[in-house]
Amino acid sequence: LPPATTQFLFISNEMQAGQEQHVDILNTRSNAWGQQVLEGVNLELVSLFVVAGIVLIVGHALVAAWLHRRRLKNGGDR
Amino acid sequence: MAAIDNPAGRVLRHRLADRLFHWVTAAATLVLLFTGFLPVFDVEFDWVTTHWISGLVLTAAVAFHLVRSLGWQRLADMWAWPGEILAAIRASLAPLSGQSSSYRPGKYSVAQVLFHFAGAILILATIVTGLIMLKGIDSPFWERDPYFVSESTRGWLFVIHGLAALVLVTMIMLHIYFAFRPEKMYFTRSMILGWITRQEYLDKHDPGKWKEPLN
Repeated sequence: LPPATTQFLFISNEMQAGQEQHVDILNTRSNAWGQQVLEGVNLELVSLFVVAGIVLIVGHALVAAWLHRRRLKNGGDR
Repeated sequence: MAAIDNPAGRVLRHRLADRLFHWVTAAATLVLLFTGFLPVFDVEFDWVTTHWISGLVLTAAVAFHLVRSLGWQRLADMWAWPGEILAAIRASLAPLSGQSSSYRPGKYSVAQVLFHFAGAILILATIVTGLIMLKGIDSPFWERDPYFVSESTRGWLFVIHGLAALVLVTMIMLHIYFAFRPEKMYFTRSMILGWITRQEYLDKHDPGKWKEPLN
């Protein structure tokens, strides 16, 4: 492992190479609440926030397009 | 002289120092998010060094912005009172009932002010927790001290750091989306070139709330 990674591994003996080091950092064993929130769902958690962003963007785009059409229909300017 | 009389037809919105701050912050934040989250998606690389160096760049940029906003900018531009928020909400809802609204914001819209407020809290949370976590790794400037904070405190640091970063992912997606919306493109242009047109200033902003000197 690269030196900096090894340094981080020093924090937790349970950390392993690759993605697990990051997973273990988030899943730090020392905090029960934090462990409950983040343990085992890191990939899902990141995906959840990305999907939330996509849903908000698409939702806003649809509402904005609907309002724009409505304005045009009512004789508003472009 | 008011911007209305500006012969060049341009109103200065962001000075060069503020634009540079924005783009340095944007670059550092994107690097931090990618180096922080790519390993979760099985992309393995030595992310720690790039991550903490980018974190220090972000910290320096935010410190610069804090000093500049306190000393050289109007804090009131980036604040919204409840009355202003209600007026903005009413104006947003007006088209639903087929009405139009004469409401116009000052330099920043209420949405921009609230977004900035939330972003500031999240960025500051990641910076403070990140700086404390930094003590746990070696660098050319200091020796690591893994016992600098207790195990329990470290747990909270990781949770706050991680959750704030996750929310920032969603917020930055929205920020980039709005930057490319046709009606918001003039904001993006102003963050690159610094100015908006006189017409944009008069059409979309209230000169009574945003009195800007000539470009």
